Amino acid sequence: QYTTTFTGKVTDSGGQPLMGVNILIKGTSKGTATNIDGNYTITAPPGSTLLFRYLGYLPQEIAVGNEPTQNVVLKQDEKNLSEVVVTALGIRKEKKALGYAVSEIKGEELTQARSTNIANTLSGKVAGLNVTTTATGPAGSTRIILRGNTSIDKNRNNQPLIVVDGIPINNDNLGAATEYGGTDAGDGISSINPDDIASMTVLKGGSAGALYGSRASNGVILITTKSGAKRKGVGIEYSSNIVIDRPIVNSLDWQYEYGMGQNGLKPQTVGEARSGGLFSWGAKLDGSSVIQYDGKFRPYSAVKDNFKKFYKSGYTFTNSVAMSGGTDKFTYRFGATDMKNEAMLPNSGIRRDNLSLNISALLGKHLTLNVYAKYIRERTYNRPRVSDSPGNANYSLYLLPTSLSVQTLRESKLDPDGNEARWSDNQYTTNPWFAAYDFEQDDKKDRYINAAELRYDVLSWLYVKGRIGADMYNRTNKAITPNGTAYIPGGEINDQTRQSFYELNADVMVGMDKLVAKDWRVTAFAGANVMRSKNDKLYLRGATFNVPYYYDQSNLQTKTVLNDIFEKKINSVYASAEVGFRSFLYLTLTGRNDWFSTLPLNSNSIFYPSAGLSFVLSDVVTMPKWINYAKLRTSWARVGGDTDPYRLRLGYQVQNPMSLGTNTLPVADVKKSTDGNYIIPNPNLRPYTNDSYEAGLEARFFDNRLTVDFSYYNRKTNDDIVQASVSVATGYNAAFINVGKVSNKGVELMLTGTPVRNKNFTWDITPNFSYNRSEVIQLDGKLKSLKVADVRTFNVTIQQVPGEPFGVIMGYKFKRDEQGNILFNSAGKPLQGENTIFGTGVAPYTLGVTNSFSYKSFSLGVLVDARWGNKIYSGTNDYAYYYGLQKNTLEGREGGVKIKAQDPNDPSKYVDKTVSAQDYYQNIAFNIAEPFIYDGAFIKLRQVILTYNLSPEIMKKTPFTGASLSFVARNLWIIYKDIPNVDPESTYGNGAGQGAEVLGYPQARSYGLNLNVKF
Amino acid sequence: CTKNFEQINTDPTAAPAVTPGILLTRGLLYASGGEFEAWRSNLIYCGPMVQHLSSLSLTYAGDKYLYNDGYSGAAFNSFYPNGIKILVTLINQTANDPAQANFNAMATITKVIMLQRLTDLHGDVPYLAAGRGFLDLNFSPAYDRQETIYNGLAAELIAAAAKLDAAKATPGSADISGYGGSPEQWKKLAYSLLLRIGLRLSKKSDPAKAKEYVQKAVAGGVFTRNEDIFYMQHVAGDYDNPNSHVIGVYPGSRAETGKSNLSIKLSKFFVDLLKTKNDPRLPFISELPKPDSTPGGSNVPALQKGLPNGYDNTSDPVYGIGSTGDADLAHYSQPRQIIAQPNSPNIFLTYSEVQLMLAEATARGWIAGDPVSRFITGVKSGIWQWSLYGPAIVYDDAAAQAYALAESAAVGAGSLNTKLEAINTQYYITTFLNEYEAYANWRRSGYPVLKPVNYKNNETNGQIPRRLRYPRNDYDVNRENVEAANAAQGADLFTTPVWWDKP
Repeated sequence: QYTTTFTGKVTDSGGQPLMGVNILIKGTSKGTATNIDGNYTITAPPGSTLLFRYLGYLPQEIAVGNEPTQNVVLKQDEKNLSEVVVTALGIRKEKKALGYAVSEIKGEELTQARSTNIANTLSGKVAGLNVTTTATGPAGSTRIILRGNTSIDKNRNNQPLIVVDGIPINNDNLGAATEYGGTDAGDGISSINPDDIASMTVLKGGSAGALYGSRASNGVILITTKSGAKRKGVGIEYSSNIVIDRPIVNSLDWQYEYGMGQNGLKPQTVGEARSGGLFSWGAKLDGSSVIQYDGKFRPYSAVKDNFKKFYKSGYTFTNSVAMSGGTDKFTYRFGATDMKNEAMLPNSGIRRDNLSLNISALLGKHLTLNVYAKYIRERTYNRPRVSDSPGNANYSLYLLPTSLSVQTLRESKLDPDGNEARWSDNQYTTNPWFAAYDFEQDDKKDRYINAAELRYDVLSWLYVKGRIGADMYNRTNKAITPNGTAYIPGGEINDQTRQSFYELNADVMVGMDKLVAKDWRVTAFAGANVMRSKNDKLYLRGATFNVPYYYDQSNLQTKTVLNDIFEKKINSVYASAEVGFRSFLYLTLTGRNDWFSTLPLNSNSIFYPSAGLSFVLSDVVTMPKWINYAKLRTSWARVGGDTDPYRLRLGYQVQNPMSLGTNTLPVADVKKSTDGNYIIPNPNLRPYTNDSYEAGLEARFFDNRLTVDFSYYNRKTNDDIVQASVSVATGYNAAFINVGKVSNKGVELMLTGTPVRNKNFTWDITPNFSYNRSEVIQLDGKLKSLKVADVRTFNVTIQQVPGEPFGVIMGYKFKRDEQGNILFNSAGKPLQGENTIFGTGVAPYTLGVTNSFSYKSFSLGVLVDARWGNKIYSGTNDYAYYYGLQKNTLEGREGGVKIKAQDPNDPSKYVDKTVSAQDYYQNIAFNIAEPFIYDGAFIKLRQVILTYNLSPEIMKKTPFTGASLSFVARNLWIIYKDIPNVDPESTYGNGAGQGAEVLGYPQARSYGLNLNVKF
Repeated sequence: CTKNFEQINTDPTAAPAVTPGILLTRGLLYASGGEFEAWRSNLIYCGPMVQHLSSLSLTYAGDKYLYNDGYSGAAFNSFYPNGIKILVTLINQTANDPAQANFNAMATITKVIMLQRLTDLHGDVPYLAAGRGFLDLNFSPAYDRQETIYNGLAAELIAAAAKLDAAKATPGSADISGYGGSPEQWKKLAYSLLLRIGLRLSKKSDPAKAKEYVQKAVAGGVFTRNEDIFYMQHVAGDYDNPNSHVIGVYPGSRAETGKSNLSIKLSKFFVDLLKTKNDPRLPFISELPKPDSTPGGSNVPALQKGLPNGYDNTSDPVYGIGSTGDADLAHYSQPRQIIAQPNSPNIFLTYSEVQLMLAEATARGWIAGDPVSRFITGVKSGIWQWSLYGPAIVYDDAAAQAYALAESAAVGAGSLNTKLEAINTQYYITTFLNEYEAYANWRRSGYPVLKPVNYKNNETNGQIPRRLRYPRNDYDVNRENVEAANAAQGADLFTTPVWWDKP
């Protein structure tokens, strides 16, 4: 048959070339696709009809005659606007084909109201995504949870896999505070520069991420960075941003009637002033002149502004410039961003520089190369210490006696010898100025996230792809307790670390996309992955510097050097097939098998299947006019996973030889874990599994002015691998066991509405709501509960208890008689009642409502974020009871607290006595948890963004192609909270032990200005 | 697909196996202990409860019979995962290797010392499953009855003694006790410990078992000379004496003690007792602070002044130290610095104790012999043993003889109770610093008669505690077994006597 060669270019309505457009000669299976420039070549008989199809665009048919050049402009499918999403392994799919819920966040949503950790800006934006901010300072970590916590283990972070341009990146918490204090060393996602992000796709459910196998048991967040496009000249985009932070809770609502001292007395001597320490159990504040720890006399009156005097305004400056452009065969984007933060805590901050380069090149006719390179440099100085007291500036600041000014501590910081002046008999409460200016806690991280991808189009419908990528970082850390510190006069190196980490991923994949028969289209691929990671950490600790103030390890009297190496490998094969019938019914099947190096050879393999079904009802049934679109979806998947390395066999740590008189003897003990525990290894471990089922509905109404996306899901984890605390009588502190079933069931609802839309004014409202009901179904028969965290007051623990939600707060209630009166022992001490479950520390309900208004060149976005259903234990208020700061400790200051209650040993008698207020409240403080448990609910005005876009008319007179100026604010107002004196988002850990706060770094209320210009 | 997996999953920073000597040294170090439990269990609870020591500080919960979970459970929380675990691992590793019988036996004997201390503190504790978490993959160890434990410990000592064999490999210098790896010495130790186990059961209404163990011990061969004393010689630096680390003043010791007055003092009862008896040991162990409150003042006996137990440093009219008429801490005696050095010995069992126990067994008629001569030898050896603390303490045999002879009058004549009081008062003096033992023997013997204190809000209604409470964390992780122990033994209180403390 006679044929002609047709060539042409396919563009969108804006003239941008479209690559990968499918072109088919109608009635045959013959076809081709456009190249990177949108050009195509096809040989067809004259008079044929060419069918052009491209995701997100309306299909177009062209009847060709003899004219050899056929340029085509495809129109965007308004009905399916931006309905192409990136799915697992970077595969772009039509959203309507998906059997599961995905949510997309555009890059610009992350760059306006900024936070030093990008994860914070996700809060309230996606249903089912729960971001917990920690009270650990601007360089601290966050906890992102999708659809509930899947593992009850205290070590597994339950956070989603973060994939940047196809490469999984490490999001481990690099160090967290414990009940004994410490610092949060940040996490991995905070390295990501929001200015580089084109979009983020949140794959919430098991089936969405099943192709990632074990890595996906907590969901996946896919980040796609910006790339260049063909254009004339170099496109330059510049943005500048300043954010000012102030503590959101900016003053303490303590009692200001009684001053420093004990037993109702003012200090009379320096000694009494010191033994008074943090106590506000003194006399009534009367303005008289009273001696303080430094021997000076100052008025005995209320000091209410310690917070304001200590914390300064924090500043974050971000400057970002990007260059992009390209030709027909080559596109690029280069971005550079500098972020400089000074924290509210004096002498603390972070600087982060990001460089990124994305290149796409067409090599020859069928070969495409994509390269993604990122370099991140982070320098953090003096991360705040949080939780317990030593070195924690926040601790002493919160608890300063009502009559002691932080200014006094500034004036009399040092004694005549240059050491921290002893201002309290408890030398572990560090002077906040000394903590801020004399302690050191510096770390440096250089990180490289690089990937290269090569794709060869064998046929128009068949391709082969290879990708290799690595996330690597080197990190150093040095934490110094200085010479002259009251509790360690000789000083310490708490931790000096050299750490290198890499994770390498290599994939090969072969894929097809073909109409196999009339109406039937098959998209399929199969591939294999090798993952190898290694974390090598060399660190030392030591005490007592021979030469004071010279903080080098060679100057230590005693030191320990340790090396931790964690290495693991996962080999995998996977395959996926999607069968589409016409354009309304899609079935997707996937399978993956992982082999783990961390599990016993006889039980180290697991297969993960998934199946998803999507049915576009509106394409089949004629709908009323007001319904534009309706789709039903359902899916099922199994994912699962392994554990950390080296948990199968006992190993010994040969310790420093001990010098024992004339002998130097080696000694050895069972190796401790990095958290300092002896853990029983378990040669019988097997993979855990996580099964999930979901169903959902997507619909659009009234000319797409209302959209609804509803999901129901049910996930269950079996054989969870847990580090269970066990009785020390075993000889160990914990054991690795396959125990535990956890279930998470929930609903998610995302709505988008446009109540008003006219020429000058638009009002969009976007609420998202989610409810997750978690339940710990079962533990090992002998384990009644699993402790995941302690709090320094030891007044509560966070436990996993069968039949209860994930991570419940447990502590003692008062013991009461039948009438509810508190019972006391004969000494007047309240008796402990039941060890009670107060509730979960994780909020089951989340709601975020964004209202966006645009009027001419102005736009205003307001996000209100709410969470409820959880409890929080306040260590701050507990300590405030102990030290006599809390307002509730006022009753009984004069004459004591009268106790009259039934004698617990003899109901016919009464305990009838008067106890001093100090004894009474201190007896409660670390004995009874009940008064310090609060409702964790909050409603916050999370984010306000007011933007002015310069109009195109003005732009024409400038070299710029676009410019905008925004005023932004974050955490502007806590509309509702129950807990006094602290922000409800004040947990210090990002682990499983959620629901407890103790004297953390205050959350910031921030205001900022954004300038963005393009030219 | 799984090539190299085994190699990848092998920790390059952990040794897969180690030689027994390395484990034995570690086990002995742990038995001597760390500051953690030495401070909390030995010096905060046992010493002040038995009125060897006293303190105004509320930290010293034993001085006032206050409850502090972290201190009450410190030995439990430290012994099991440290010494007991490593010794059990060594015992298991050497169980089927006759060539390593000496290592096996020495580890067993050391383990017995630690477990006896634990059961004496708490009563019923995990024994059969102790330290066997990895060996049995049993994560919920049962608490054994104290009777079972005592019989088990006795059997382990007898078996270990039989295993010791001078013809087989010995640990040599890996044995860091004064024994230097000698099987003969360890055999004497095993039987001397058996003697202590036997005597501990003397209070039971049927002391047959006590008698049986005592007789077996004597037949097996107990300590015969001063130098048989079992102690760990500590060395400054890595291996400080754990008690000294708290009460001593030297670079690197507890900072708070280095600054001014020690917060831990000698008890008024103890100082007065030694003063009344004109005991030659008082100047060895007691000194006043210097006038500027730093340690190292006078050790002249007549000037020594003990701090009464049960007071605090507030201005409280009843409980404040001011109510005694002298609120100045610098006026009270404290442990003398030369016995609280980093290289001071940590003593577990002495010839003095053995002779006093033998004197008691003789007085009770369980074994033949003369209680008076044993008593005199015991008292003299108790004075001699302080010469181990350094050349500054000089043993004067004539003075010791005169003192012992004078004290022995009560043993030579009088009722059994008079004899027991004299013997156990000396036992009380000779076990100073080994407070675990002093507290256990005081509960068993009732001597010397102590007057309890009654500090506000105390846990016992003004009685000296009969035991310490189980650590709260075991309730969190092993509740069923702790509660079973409470059901069998009695409520988990300071006032519940342990099995051997009940007739």
